Amino acid sequence: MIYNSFNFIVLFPLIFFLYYAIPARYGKTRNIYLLFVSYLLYLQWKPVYGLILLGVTAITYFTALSLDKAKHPKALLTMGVLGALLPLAFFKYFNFINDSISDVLAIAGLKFHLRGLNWAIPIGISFFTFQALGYLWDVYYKKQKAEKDFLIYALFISFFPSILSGPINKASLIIPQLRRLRPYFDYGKAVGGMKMLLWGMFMKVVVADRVALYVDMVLPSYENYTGLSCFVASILYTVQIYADFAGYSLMAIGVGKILGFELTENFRRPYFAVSVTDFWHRWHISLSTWLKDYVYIPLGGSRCSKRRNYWNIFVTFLVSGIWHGANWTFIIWGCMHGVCQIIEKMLNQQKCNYGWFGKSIKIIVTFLIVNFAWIFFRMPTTGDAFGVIGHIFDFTLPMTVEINSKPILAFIVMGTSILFMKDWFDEFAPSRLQLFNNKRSVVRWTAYVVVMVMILLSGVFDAGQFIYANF
Amino acid sequence: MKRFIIKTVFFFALIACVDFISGHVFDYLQNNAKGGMTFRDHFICNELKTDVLLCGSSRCVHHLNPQIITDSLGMSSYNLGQDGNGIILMYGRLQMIRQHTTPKLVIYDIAPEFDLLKREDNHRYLTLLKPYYDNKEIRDVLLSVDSTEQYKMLSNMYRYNSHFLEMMSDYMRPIIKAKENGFVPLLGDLDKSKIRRDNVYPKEYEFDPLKLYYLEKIADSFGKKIVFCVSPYWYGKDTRQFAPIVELCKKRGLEFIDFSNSPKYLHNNSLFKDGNHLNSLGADEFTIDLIKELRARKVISASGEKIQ
Repeated sequence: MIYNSFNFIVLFPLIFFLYYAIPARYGKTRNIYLLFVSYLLYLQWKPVYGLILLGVTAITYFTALSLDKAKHPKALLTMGVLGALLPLAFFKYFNFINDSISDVLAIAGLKFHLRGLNWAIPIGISFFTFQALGYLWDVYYKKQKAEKDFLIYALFISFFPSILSGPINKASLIIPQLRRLRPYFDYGKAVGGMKMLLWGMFMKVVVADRVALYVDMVLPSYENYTGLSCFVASILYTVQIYADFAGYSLMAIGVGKILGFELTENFRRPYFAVSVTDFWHRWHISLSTWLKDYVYIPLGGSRCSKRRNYWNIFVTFLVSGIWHGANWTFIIWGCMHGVCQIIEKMLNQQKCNYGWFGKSIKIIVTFLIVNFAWIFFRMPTTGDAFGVIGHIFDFTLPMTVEINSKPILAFIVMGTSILFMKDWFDEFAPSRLQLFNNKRSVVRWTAYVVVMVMILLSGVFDAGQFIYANF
Repeated sequence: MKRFIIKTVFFFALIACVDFISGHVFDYLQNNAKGGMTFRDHFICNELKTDVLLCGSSRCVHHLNPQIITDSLGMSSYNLGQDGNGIILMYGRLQMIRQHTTPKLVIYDIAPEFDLLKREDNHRYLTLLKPYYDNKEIRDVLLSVDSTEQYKMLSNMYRYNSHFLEMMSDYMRPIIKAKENGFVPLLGDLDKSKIRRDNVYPKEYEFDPLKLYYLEKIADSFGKKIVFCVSPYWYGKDTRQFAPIVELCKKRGLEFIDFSNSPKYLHNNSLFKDGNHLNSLGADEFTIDLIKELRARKVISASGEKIQ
């Protein structure tokens, strides 16, 4: 469900009221209802892809159940993992692998090319596949008991607030909530959820979609703009992807909360990280946790030689890059993050043991490193990414920033300043600026109204999809 | 649950109150702007009376000089063009203008991206029409792009979305961007870094049925009084993009004057500011050439009065 769409405004109250029309003692009925709604919403994208979702759910469900009694559990696990990964590999990576093989063969003078697929990727496939795989591995390593109730498991995988773009939830967090009899209505959670929904909407439509107007103008035609304009556009893209993804995550978590569920926290002010390592403790936390638990630690983690440890870090972030997209740009992006973390580990710079000045420098340096890596994430080809970077460092170009529209500039400054200030206070002085959580109701309600007014007056409502909805 | 619903309803009631008050404030700012784009927009939609209307995107704004038309033809002229906009906005504006005046001639400078071709989203053309939602013609335009606009437009703040900062600035300290006749000349020489060449033309073009619909409607509204043209491009243009408008003009017996690949202008650095826009010198040249062509085709007589 796209939270900044008109459909959401109409549908969600209906979903909410029908859910709470079911008395709390009918927990199973409530779950059936949520499963029905989750599949109904998923099917509105492309109905046939509901079979993919069901297929991944069924494969991992039956594999997990069979693991206990299996003679060769590892082999069964491998088959289950491959079965669950197959749709993801097929839909997302077929064309990339096909093209890459063709390019390599062409270098060797061989012509071979399979016809590419022109199929849309099932929405959220990267997220629900990883969620299902995480569950399977948890059952295999006996961290989680296999869920016998198919209904509960299917709801865990397809839960509509988070299926589109995460968070990637752990079974140990969600399944117990689905199993137990939930209170009829949790007022505190619901209010918390509404606040998250409101702030998440602000981040998405007021900040992310607004800066996107400038980013989408400059970066695709970077050759026609000054280096400084490209640099500003790269900074704004860094803001855009954070506000977009974190905004979506907040809304997803908020919707879950309104329905009485706790979902995984996904962002914690990532641009105040003091190192790239720290960045990944704050950015897309659910993915980095997943990678740590199911890639990094099984490879040996840090309980091995230094060289092996560096290799484990590199592979983990290579997987991260591959997960993000079927393009060499994402792989390079992932590898950049891996290499930076290896260097930080070598130099013992993962944390910050300096005073406030040293910390500020580290935050700025980390931000710039992450910012440059995002260029690879944004541009369609590696050539374009290097082109943008080359352009930024071309000091023969005029040192001017081209922003033709003063109103766009004003909106960008307004939105990003508010977001920055809120994050700054949350990071360094959480008790000093309490608006949504202020003790005085006048302050709280004024904040709610002001944010909503800003959404209505300066939000961009035509921008459409979230960035991570393409994954 | 009861408390939650009551507080939610109270919240939306508060927003509705703020929305109601701000609607009145923004209406006042819209109607009493001292200059800038807000004043221009209000003037066009409510007060403009002129003989010759010049319509289109930024290319019209920067390419068609009303003063030259007035001097040559002895007819008043106004440039309605709007950056980043096309037929959807122009249709709305023209319908509002027709409510208080009848122009003798409408010259529409076609830009395929905004007037013909299918692009991601037509919502972008609605921003300047939303404040006039109460007008039935405008309402129909908005609803033809998105039927949910009828619900969104219940909010006054939504009507002025993305526009309020400029409105406030135009009321308090306007930055006059346009000459009184709507024309914005681009001064200076060609900036070569701004030459963006569409090197690769697609095999087929996809045209937007809604844009074509409004082109037909404009042709219906003005009949023989409307002339379609394409002003020059530095790098020329693939004329296949103009197929629908060529067909429309042929069908209705309307004039279509295409300068997109005119040898005088092609790669002529002295007449352009960037690949898509003429500079002030180029604009004057083009306006003169267009008038000559209109005379040659007998759209206007030698004395300047319209014949058809």
